[in-house]
Amino acid sequence: MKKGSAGKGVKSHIDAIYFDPCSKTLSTRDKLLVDDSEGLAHGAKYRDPSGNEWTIIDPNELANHSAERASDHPTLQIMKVAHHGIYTRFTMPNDPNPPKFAEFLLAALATPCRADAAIGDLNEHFTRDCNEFGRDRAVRLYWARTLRSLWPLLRRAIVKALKWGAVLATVKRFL
Amino acid sequence: MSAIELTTLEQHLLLAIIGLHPNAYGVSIQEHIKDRTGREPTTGSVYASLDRLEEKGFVKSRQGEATPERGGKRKLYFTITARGQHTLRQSLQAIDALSHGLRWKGAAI
Repeated sequence: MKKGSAGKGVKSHIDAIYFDPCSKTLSTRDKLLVDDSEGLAHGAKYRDPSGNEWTIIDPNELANHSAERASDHPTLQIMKVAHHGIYTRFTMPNDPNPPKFAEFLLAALATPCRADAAIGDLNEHFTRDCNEFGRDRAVRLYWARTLRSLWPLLRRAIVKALKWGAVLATVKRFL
Repeated sequence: MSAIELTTLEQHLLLAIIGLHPNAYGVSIQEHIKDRTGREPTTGSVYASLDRLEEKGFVKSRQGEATPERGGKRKLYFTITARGQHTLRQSLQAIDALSHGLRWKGAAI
């Protein structure tokens, strides 16, 4: 893809290398299809079919980047686009991707609204831990938090069930 | 309901909700309590206690925004009610009354 060379409406493919802060690895992603109609001016923004936003940045800015510096960024970063020396930075939301079974356990013990909020909170902790400690430790911490959360929720569920049981028993007595 | 029925965690939760108003949700409440007491309540204990407090009419909840780092799950914001404030004040006053004028001696080593 050549800078500013494509005509209006032309779609271009670029290869990208990105840094994953969770696995702390640089990897190659699928080619990205961008609309090249405006030329690839620095600062130009593109939105791919998945809705992710791409921003072209100054190659000089990228030259100062390294994997270590990229780890400071909490989100996925495109470090370099291989073709034609065009450099981009790609930012997208992290996929928390915490253990699903832990979510299931919480969902089973709390009301849907509470369970959603509790799982969201654990996901938020997970994302922070992931950026700080890496994914393996973040998963261990996620499980620890989940398991420590189960007993209070279970106890609450039991108390509620007993209350309803007592109410039903009282109603039955008068029927 | 008697103020004595508030547990320490419930007192902490109500104080955190007042302190964080209007941004009191699970994670911010946990961090607020951890920063001030050094002990972080678990997510489960926070929601179990808040569930109980809401059932008693001491707090109200409303759904907030979903963010990517939360995996698309919505936040649940809490605010204290007038009844909750009254109960909390009574509870704290009871502690004050018990601790007032204490001479800290007589502890076994």
